[in-house]
Amino acid sequence: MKDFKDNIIQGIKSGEIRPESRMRFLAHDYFFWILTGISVVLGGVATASIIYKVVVEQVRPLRGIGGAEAVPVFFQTAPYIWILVLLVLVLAAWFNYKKTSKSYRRHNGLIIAGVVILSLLFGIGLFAAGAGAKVDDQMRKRVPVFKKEMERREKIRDRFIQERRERLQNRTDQNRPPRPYPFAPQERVR
Amino acid sequence: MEQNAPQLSDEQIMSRITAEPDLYGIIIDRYTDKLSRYIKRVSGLVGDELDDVLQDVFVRAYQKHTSFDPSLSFNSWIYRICHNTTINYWKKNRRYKEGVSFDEETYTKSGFLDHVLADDTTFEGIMRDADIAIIRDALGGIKEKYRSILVLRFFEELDYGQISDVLKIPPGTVATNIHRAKKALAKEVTLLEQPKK
Repeated sequence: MKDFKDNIIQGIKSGEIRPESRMRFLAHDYFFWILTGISVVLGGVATASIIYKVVVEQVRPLRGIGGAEAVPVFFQTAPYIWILVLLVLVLAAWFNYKKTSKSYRRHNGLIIAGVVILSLLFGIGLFAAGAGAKVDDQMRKRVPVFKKEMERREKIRDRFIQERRERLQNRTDQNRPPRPYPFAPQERVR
Repeated sequence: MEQNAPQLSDEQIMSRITAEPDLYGIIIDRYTDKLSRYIKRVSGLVGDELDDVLQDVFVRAYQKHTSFDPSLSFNSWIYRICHNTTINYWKKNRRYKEGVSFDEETYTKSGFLDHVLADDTTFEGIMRDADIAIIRDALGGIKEKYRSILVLRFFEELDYGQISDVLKIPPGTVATNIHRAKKALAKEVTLLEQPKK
């Protein structure tokens, strides 16, 4: 065992055994912390867009129209692209956090829940600041496929709203009480 | 090397070894017996193979001492390096396919059982009646992750926080895995005893 110890000490003194750079370890840790932060911020942006789509483009136009009949339309026009983006970003944040040095102390479920909660809080803040609408506008301007898909969904929603309004109008007309006989007051002949 | 060096803590030594490499000899002296017992218990390695792995552990610990996190205990940190080095060596050499066999001195029935049964009486009967040779074979037959956690808890006597740092799993999972490891061990003992009955 003496040789064993002496070999190592000799190796260290001769420079054969060298310590790895501390900067490398720190850089690795900081790199994954930064990626985790970026994933959470982008997750917040995706959340803001989801809230904008749901609140401004679905709930407000459909409120008071259709009742239970509006539910399928709600699902047909839901912002699935943004939900998918949010899921990918949550997974990215989890993956990056798992690469940091002390992540093993936390359960995966707790990490995912933490990332989702942070993204939601950040997203609510961004939505309140108007970022949801801005992101949606920019996406429509810059990504033609996104614009096309959004327009398709809007058509489905608008068609449903139009049909409902027409149906409601017809029902109102049919249920209108008959005018008093022989003449309605405004048509009275003097 | 200064005269009061042997009184220095592991952490103090590690913070000074770049300037004073001789101090690393104290760490090697302090941990050689502990770590070689751990390697033997987890992998069943002996002789030259054991020495090679142990030497590799100390070389790696020196190379990686710059990454030592003072919020961890040095004990946990060096056990982590030892665990990873041993398991990598063991897997590379395909031992996991053959199972692990242990020599007589590695496990003594009284020592092992006193520890394992101290906080669990559910399989006390199974284990008390079992032959030490069967318990040894059973330990060699269970999954590596269960064997490691039993060794760390009941032989090395690390607490849940330290085991969490060594194996890089959450402290809650340590408790769950210890429970599962005991069940796996009891099941293996029962299976090995069956042909006898």
